[in-house]
Amino acid sequence: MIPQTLFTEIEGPRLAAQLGVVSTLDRFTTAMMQHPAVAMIVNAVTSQDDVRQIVARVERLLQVHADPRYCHPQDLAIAVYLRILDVCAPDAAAELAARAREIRNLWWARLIAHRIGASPNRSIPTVTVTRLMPVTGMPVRAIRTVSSTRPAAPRDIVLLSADGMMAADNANADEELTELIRVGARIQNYTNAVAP
Amino acid sequence: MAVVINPGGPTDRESIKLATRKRRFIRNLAHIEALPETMRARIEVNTKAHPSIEPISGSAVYNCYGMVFAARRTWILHPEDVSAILEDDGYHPLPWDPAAWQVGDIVLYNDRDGGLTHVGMIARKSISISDAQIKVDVLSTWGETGEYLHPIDVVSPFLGKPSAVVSQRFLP
Repeated sequence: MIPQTLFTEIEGPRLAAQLGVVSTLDRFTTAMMQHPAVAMIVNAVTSQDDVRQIVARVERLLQVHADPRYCHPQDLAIAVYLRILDVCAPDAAAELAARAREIRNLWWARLIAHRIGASPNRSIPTVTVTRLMPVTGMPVRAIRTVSSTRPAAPRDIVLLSADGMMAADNANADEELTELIRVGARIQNYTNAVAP
Repeated sequence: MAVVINPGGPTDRESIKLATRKRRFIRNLAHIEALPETMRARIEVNTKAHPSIEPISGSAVYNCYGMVFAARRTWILHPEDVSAILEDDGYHPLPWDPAAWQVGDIVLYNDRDGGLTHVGMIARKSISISDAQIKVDVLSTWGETGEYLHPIDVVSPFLGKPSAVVSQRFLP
């Protein structure tokens, strides 16, 4: 169950102001996946019920009457949800993206919807991260393995940690994990272990 | 509606005709204005987060690249098209020295990997009496959250850091 507070944060003015500063779709998706609220909601998606919750949220936002003279007030939130669904539930994302493309006063959501429409049926590689933790202090090592149903699939990887924080605070793993974040990653499985 | 494979391209009805001096097309899209109350909220969030910035305009029609290179008419969508503009339109790098910069010169912001993230235009230079430093203020558009006058190094963390200043100025 995704907490209501996360939806409130995603649909609130603060996130729109923070993420809305960027100028290109690539920057937008990068910034989105670096934002703690987005990371937390991705982390919270663990079942089909969670997916259905997001789908229902998008459907509701798409039905909200928005003055066509102005950009849809929830454009950015819809874009965030579409991107999350594109990673977690590509079929649902494709269906909602088709509807978003029809709404002319969407901006980021339409750009993401076009991108989703232009790359249908792509496979979603998954990542398993095992992190060795010292008894106290910062993690000392991160190991990742990548699996994919299609070797040439785009590096669209899952990145989550058990506590909902981005797993990018380790010096050795930082660059690699930052790259995972950049490509809009999601981690399928994340394990903490105590280092010997 | 069909999927637009290349939004903002020359065949996209929502783009305007925009090209470099050498006629390279610049991909762009018209952005509809934000609701006034939405824009007010965004400006409030940004000015609270960065007290030294001054909101100048609340338009979402153009982004930072569109403000600088397309006269505030549209969003330029791709950093590589900005590179084409810099190349074709005679921009040249200036030394990293505020004394060499003039009002109207362009500041490029990059991320840690060197990718272009943002641009702004130098709007004001002044001497700080307290430390005898040259203070540089830049006018730039922060995505769809408005246009701001700000110290050169004060931008949202998502907009990177100032890394170069370029200019079209030349004296024969």
